[in-house]
Amino acid sequence: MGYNAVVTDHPMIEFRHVSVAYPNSVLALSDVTYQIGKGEFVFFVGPSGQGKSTALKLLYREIKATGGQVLVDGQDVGGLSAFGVARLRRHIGVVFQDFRLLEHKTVRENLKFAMQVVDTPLSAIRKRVSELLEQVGLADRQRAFPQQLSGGEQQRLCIARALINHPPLLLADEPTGNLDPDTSTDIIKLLEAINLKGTTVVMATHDRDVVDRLRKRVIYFCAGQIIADLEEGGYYPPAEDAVCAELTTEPYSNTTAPASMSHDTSADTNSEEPVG
Amino acid sequence: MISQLEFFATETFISLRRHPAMAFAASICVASALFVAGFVGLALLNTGFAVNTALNRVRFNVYFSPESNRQEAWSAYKRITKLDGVASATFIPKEKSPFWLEMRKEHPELVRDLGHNPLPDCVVIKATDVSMIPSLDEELKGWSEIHEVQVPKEVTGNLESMRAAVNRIGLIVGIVLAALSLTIIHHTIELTLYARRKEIHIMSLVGATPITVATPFLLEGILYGLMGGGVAIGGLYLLYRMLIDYVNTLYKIQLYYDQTIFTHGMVAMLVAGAGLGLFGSLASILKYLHRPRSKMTNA
Repeated sequence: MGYNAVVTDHPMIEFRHVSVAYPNSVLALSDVTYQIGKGEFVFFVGPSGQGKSTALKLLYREIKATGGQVLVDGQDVGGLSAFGVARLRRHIGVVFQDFRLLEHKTVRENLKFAMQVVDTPLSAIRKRVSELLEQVGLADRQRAFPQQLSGGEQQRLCIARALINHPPLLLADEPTGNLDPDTSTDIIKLLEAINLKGTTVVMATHDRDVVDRLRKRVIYFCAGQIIADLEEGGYYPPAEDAVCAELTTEPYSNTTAPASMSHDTSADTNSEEPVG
Repeated sequence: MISQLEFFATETFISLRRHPAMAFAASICVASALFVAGFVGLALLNTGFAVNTALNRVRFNVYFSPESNRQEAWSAYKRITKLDGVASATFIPKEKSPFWLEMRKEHPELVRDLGHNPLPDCVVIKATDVSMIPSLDEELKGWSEIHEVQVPKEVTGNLESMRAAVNRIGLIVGIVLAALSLTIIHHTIELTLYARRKEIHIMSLVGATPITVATPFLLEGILYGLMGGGVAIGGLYLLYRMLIDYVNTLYKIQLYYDQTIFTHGMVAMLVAGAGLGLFGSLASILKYLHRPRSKMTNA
């Protein structure tokens, strides 16, 4: 089955009773249902291992849901063939915490590479690469290699690569995780500017300052479920909405799940393919 | 399309540049396998050539019946020369028979006592191919003028068996070497895939199709095969030229040489090398692309 990118009135993202179970019986997501409209800016927040990254991976078909449906712009991505997944990903930009750049290629070559693999004409490549480098502020660093860039510059390059094909949806998995606060602010401003141009942005984050400052829509994950979904949320959900009540007052950590939850918290970093 | 062709070409050679030792090792392994296969092929060619030459020298004798007169024998001989499968036929009248000539020389008194030559006229036949001999034997035995057909069955049988054995050995050696080369290229490409897993992951993230991901590695495998084939051809050519001169000078034996066949053989080796490279890398890339995603993206 192929991915059809015709413009529709559907929400940009829709999860319908989605579950993800890994072979070792870890339940990464359990009966998750939500919608994200076109042009929204949404944060996924929650402690480590609660399902944020899993929810993002489902969107660009890094993994498949073991239950329910994941729809991107009205199309079920679970049933896509390998070629369908390739076409889907041309409409989604992904930004990672660890950047995932090609170390042996320059800034310009990293972007060119991303366009060549999707068979973009050479003239279009030159023009688009120059545009993006200007947009992210790396025009004067195009001949540098990634290891010669600062953390913020590397992340801007990663964002530029994510925008290569003018995607309507941008996913960011903890993009400021490795950056200092000032640099994080620059990256967030860049993402906001992208969102203002109409791109839907979904960002999984642990960055409390960013979430509290921007007051965008926030979806709270805990133990593989959505415990709250607020239009102008802060980093912590209101106490009455939290199933894991202690998380609203205790600092987030990478340690074990709250005592009230009985399953493994390593779902997000689980290296196994979900059982499906 | 042009940018993607440039991409394929660039990415194919990138691997050679970044991993020259691996590329060298893979090409040399393929070259070794093809060299041995080529050498065995040349040996088989020469053996086959020798066997065929021996077979083509095989002749058989046809003896006319003592009741047939010279005219009848000569008429039968004329018919023999027109038979299918007869390359040449030589009529030997009884008075020119080597045995009779020797008897006259060594035992003239016996010849005098006999008074006449009791031997029959004879025809020595050379067949166009040794495989025609049985059918000629069958045909000639039915002629009333002919008393006996002497076919050297044992010799032809042995030579035919040798030819069949040589072909079988060649086939087995070819299969073993092909399997060896495939395995080597397969594992080399697997190593390349692992070394470039990060690029593959990024390619698939930005929307490259499986064909786009696979093509540079397939081309890389073909390149290893072609390089290996080229080295093998060069080595074999030099070695065989030296052997031809050496054997001819020392033993006055002419080794088999046919430029057309050898040109075809070189092309076949290049095609075989490219084919081994293609299938070896195809096996690796298919295995890689069907692995669970989590194992592929551990970049």
